[in-house]
This record gives sequence, C-alpha cells and structure tokens, in this order.
Amino acid sequence: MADLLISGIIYGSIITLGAIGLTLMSDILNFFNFAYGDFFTLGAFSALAVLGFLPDMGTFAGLSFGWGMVIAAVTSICVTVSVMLFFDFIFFKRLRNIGVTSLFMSLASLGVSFIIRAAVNIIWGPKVRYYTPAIQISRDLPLGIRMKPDELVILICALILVVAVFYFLKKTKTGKAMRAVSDNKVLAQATGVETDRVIMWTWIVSGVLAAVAGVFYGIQVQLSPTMGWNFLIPLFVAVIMGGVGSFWGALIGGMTIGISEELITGLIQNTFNAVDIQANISVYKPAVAFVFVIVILLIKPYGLLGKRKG
Amino acid sequence: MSILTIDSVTAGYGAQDVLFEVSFHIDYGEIVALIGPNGAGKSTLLKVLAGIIRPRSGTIVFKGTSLVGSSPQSITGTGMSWVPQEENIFSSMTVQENLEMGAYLLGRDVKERIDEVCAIFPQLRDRMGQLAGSLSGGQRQMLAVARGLMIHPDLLLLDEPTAGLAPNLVQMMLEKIKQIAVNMGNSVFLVTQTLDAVRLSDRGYLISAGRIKYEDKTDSFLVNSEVRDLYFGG
Amino acid sequence: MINYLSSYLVMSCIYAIMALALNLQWGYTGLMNFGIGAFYMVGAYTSAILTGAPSAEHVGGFGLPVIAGIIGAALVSGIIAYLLSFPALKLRGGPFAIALLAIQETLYLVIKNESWLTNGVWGIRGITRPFFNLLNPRHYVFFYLIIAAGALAITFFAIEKAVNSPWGRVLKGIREDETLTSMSGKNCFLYRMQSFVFSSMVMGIAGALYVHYTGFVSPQVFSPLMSTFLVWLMVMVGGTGNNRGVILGAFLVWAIWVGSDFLTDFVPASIATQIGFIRMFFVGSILGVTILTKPQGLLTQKLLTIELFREESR
Repeated sequence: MADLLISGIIYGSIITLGAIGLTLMSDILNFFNFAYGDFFTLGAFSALAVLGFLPDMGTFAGLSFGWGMVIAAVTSICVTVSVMLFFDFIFFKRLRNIGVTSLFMSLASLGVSFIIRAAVNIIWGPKVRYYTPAIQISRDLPLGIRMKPDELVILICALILVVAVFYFLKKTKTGKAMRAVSDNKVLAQATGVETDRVIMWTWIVSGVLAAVAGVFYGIQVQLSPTMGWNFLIPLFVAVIMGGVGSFWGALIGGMTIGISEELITGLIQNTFNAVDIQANISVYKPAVAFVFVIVILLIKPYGLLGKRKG
Repeated sequence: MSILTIDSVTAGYGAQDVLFEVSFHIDYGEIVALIGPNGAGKSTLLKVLAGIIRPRSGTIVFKGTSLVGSSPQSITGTGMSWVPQEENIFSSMTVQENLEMGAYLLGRDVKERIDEVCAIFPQLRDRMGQLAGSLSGGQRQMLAVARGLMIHPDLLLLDEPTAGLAPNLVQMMLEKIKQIAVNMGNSVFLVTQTLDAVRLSDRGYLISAGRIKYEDKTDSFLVNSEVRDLYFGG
Repeated sequence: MINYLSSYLVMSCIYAIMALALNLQWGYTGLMNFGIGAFYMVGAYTSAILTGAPSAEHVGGFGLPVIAGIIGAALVSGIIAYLLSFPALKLRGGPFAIALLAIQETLYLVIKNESWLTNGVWGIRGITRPFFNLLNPRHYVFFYLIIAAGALAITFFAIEKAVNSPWGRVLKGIREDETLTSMSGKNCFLYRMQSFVFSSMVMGIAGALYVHYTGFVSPQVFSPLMSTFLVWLMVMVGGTGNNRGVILGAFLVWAIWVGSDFLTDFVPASIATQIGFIRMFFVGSILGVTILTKPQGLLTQKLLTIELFREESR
C-alpha cells in the first residue's frame, strides 16, 4: 500500500507537469491539443538520441543517470519547444488566422499527433526502450519511506519546476500577460497585450513541461512511441477535473489522477493475484481516469476550479 | 480642434451591419455623451473605435492619424483607452494586478501612476491585494475606469459606467468622471442611458437604429422633444 | 485491376456509412465524438463472435447466420451507446470528445488484452462470408459490392428521411438554440440520445459489414487512425452537414489512403515494416495541406452546410 502511494505520487507529479502545460495551452489557445502527448514522447526520445551521441559520462552517486542526462534533457527541451513552435508557425497559426472553430483545431492537432507518432515509430521503431539497463533498488529514507533515488530526484525536480512556473505566471510581466489573456482576451488586447507573443510563450512553457515530463517518465518507467498518446487521457482528465486554465486545478487534478490510478489498479491487481485470477490490470489505468472525469463533470461541469468563460 | 473625428462609418458583426454612416467629432477637453435606446449600436460604436470591430467603410481620425484597421493594442498605444460595459476587469487577478495590466504599455513609473489613479478612487487603495472578482459592483466599475486611466489616455471611452449602480454610487461615479476630465485634461466619450450623465457633458449625440439622429450642446439637447420622448416617463 | 477497384469501392462504401453516421452525430446533433471507432469495433467483434465457428481460443462460435450477426452488432453498439448517454451526454465539446476517446481507448485495451473473449492481438479468423461457398471466389468482391452499396443506399435514405422529418427539425432546433427548444417543451436530452444511439447502431452495422467482407478481424484494424480519424477527415473534407458531401469525402479520402500504398515500393527494406506509419505520415501531410488551402471542405453546398467550420468573425 505504501509503495503504491509512493509510486502514485511520482506518477502524479509527472502528470502534474504535463497537466499544467496542457491547461495553459488549452485555455490560451482555446482548443484541446491532441498532439500534446506526442510532444511528451518527443521529449523523451530526443533525450535518448542525445544520450546515444554522448560519450559515457558516468552517473551521479546512487542515481541511474549523470551529467549526460542533464545535457540530454536540456537539449531535449530545446528540440521539443522548437518542434512545437514550428508546428504552430506552419500550421496552427494559419488555422487561427483563418478563424477556424475550436473543433477543427482539435481535429488538426489529432492529425499532427499521428504525424509525430509515425515519425517516432519510423526513426526509433516500435519496441520499448530504456535510458539505461541498470535497475534501481529502493532505499530506506527517514520517516519509513522507501523510494528509489531516481524517484526522489524526479520528485524534487518536478517540485522545483512547478514552483518556477508558478513564479513565472505570478510575478513576471509575460506571466501576467498570459493570465490576463486567459482571464479576458479582449480586455487584454485593449490593454496592449500582443496575443501572438503570449501564444508563443504558452507553447514555450508547455513545451518545457512536456519535454521534462517525458524525460522523467522515461527514467521512471520506459520509452515507447505511444507513451505520450497513452498519457493524453490522464492528462486531459486532470486538466478538465481541475478546470481548464487553472494552475492549481492542474496540480490537484494531476496528483489526484496519478495517485488514484496507481492505488486503484494496484489494489485490484493485488486482489486478483490473491485469488489467483490472471489479469493485467495496470493497462486499464486510463479507465480509472475516465471514470473520475465523468463523476467530477457530473457534479461540477466546469471542473473543480474552473471558471465560466465569456 | 478635434481630437477624434469619425466620418461615415458603417460597421457591424459578420454579415449584419449595425451602424450606418455614423459621423461625429470630439474636441480636446470635451465630455461628449452618446445616448440611445437599447440595440441602437452604442456599444458597437465604442468597439469600432477601440479596434475590436473593423468598420466596413468610413474614416476614423484620432489626433491626426487614421485608426481604421489598427489593432486594439496600437490604438491604446496612441492614447485612446476603452472601458467596456461588461467583463471590464480581470476577475481572477488582484486589484493591483489589474492596474498593472492597465499600465502594460506604460513601461515606467507604474507605481507613481497607481498612486495618482488611487487618489481619484481611494477605495481601491485599501483593496490592492483583493481579487477583482470579489469586489462589489460599484468597486468593480471604479477599478474598470481606473484601469483605463493608467495609460494617461488622451481620450477615455466609457461604456455605460453607471449601469447597474445604486443611485448614490451613480452620483459619485459621475463626479469622478468630471474630476478626471477637468483635472487630468482628458477628453471623455461617454455612452450612457442616464440623463444625469448627459447633464455632466458638454455635448450630446442621440443614436437610434445605427444612425445619429441628433446632436447639440447639452442644454438644448435636454429639451429636444425626441430625447424627451425616449427618456421621460421611463 | 477491376478487382482492386471493386475492393476499394467496397471499403469506401463501408466508410461512407461510418461517415454518414458521424455526420448525423456531429453535423446534425453537434456531438464531437472522437471515439467513433469504439462502436465500429464493437459491432465488428460482436458479429464475428456471434457468427463464427467454435474455437478453443476464445468465446463465441455460436454459428449464427450473418444477418443475426449484423443485428447483434447493431444491438450491442446501440446498448453501449444507450448506457453511455446518461453520463456522457452531459458533457459538451472538448470534454465530450475526450470522454469518447477514453472509451475507445479503454475498449481497445479490453479487446487487445482479454483474449478469452476476442483472441487478443491474433484476432478471429474464418468469419462467415455470406454466400461465399456459392460463388466463384474471384467474383466475390462484386457480389459484396452490391451488398455494401445497397447498405450505403439504405443508410443514406434512412438518414436523409430522419433529418428532414419533424424529429430532424427538433434536432436542428437543439443545435441552433437549445434553451429555446427546451423551453418549448422538448426533452432535448432524449433527442440527442436517440441520435447518438441510432448513429452508433449504424456504426456497429458498418463494423459487421467489414468483418463479413474480409473474413478476419484483429484489433490493429481499429486503431484510432483507421477507425476514427480517417472518418472525421472524410466528414470534414466532404463538408459537415452535407450527406452527399460526406459520401464523396469517404470515397476521396479512402482513395488517397489506398493510393498511398504505392509508397511501399519506394521505401527501403530496412524501414518497410513501418510502412503503416509512413503512409500515415504521408496522408496526414496531404490532408494538412488540404486543410490549409481549402478548409471548408471540397463540396460545400452553401445552403446545406452548417456553419460549424468558421467562427463568427469579430
């Protein structure tokens, strides 16, 4: 039970990173970007590619990765954000300028997701990959917690990143402009905010979050071309649950989904194992998220912290 | 000398025109009222001026420059500030942040400007950290106008600033508007359904079904029979 | 060559049926369903299980006649849609799309993993093809073309009749102004549910038609690309709300997909196994270009096309 909780927290923090990025994007760009999961995949695989080029730089004490991963992650962030900006420039921006409906944008993003997934499949093949063959063992920490060192690092880094994004939104001029656009787009324009710049920053921030989350997931679990697509459903659920555009909502939604997916599927699996029923329950994690969103939306149609958009 | 001249502007939403060959002007330092029944196109006219709606035809000249086709951002940058009737604040941001957004194009001396604006609306000073969405109706209106003032506008466009306010607050808001025009030297273009606001102005225009029907100095405006028909008895 | 063409036509007809059903859901009812593949897949597997021969690997083998399989497919799809209506129809727009996507993914997982039911990724073989034994196998495709085209015609007329009937007019009213329509006493939920269930049943039938044509079914056929995205493209290319248009859209998009098969010859052997994705890439790019240049669909009839495409300009 305790280790389910721990892995749920780790998984939840990865989802939270993605959910914050997705909630900003869905709100400010006003459509649900079905390609977001594949940017997550792109982030993970870009790091893999970079690692392949770098010489062996050893690992940090106790961790499964070292400076190589740091370089790979930073490069991956740059690559992922560039690719996202590229797609915006050649595709989504033009659709915005034509003035297409939100549905059309979502559909278009579905198409982009296929393109990226296909590209990843073609370049790296369909098999599951790992950053490193080394396996980590859980260590004992104070307060009776058992965690792998990698997991602790992921948790701390995720926390730092979340705080950084929060600070960015709360204190910087660009962050405030983003919040203003999210709150009242017309009024923001009337105060002089250039929506194109805000959109660009939205892609950048959510791109950073997607890439980092992808790398973390790769470290924690594995890499596969459909990793991001499978992640979409928990991500969307977390965003909708928390209310589109709400930073705190994404945080609460992400952690809730992460923890409950692990706990619920884990408990069911343990029960099945105990009574000797053969079943692989963990694949049904998306179903848990799905049930969650239905229940929440029936009670609070705009999400827990969502606002009614004008 | 006119700060704003509109000539023969026709505009609307999509295929539907709402304004037909509207022409008027505002001089420096004037308070001009626009009065008319619901649906006459008052708010639409302000949106056209603010750059939210692009006119189909006609000219708009502000301080000597044509504004047709300009974005709302650049129009605000030239010194025309628009305060909409509804959804005129950032409700998820604090009072202070709202004012800061008002000063987005200012670049410097933001704190000083906030102080100046709070001198006119002292109720805001105590509430800087409060979320704008939790303000009362009257406080919200004040914040909306204060936000519009942050940019040192030469022309302030106010869309029904006293709508929905209790009578004593209406009086107070009108006094503030007078104060703004007189002390800060702004020109004000005021869309209103309130006769008191007309009395406050120097001149008035009557708009109905998208066309300017009548225009005069306030004293004569108030005794005009068409204006009286529209507003007396209601 | 003629065989190749007929095969293309059969699949186009089946996809056209899907497109008509989606058009009813989206164009006429405003349901943004990104999980239509679920109903197609469920219909296919239901019919396969009902009509197939007994097998040690999976449930089924009831050996029922094909027509029973088709009816079963419609029923099961319809029941699933009915049950889903209660929670799902309370959602709108994006959340509805995601919910249906989640349903599709979940059902896809069930079918892939629960081998006792569906034989998992190995699929079900030897599905009955109607009258297969009576005809020369080489001519079978022509026979099936008649069946498929007939089914398409029936679907088209049925849907056209439905949308032009009083029922259809209420649906239109709901789409244009739901508050007003419900205030005039109509139970909007009921109408939307009827449309959702009916069109899901049609999708189930399309799935059944598919398996009885190929004689084989496996989960890969029902990937989100092939079963959901492609159909959406057909509807967008043909023009939302335009029934004739979406039929043409189906034939056109399927032609592009089938046409992309030629790429197999140009691809080096080392990545030949990824050919599915390469074609996906190719088709996705072509359609991306189409979207950018002719976004309103190729066949928009000004009168009939519902303005769901372009936002009200400011």
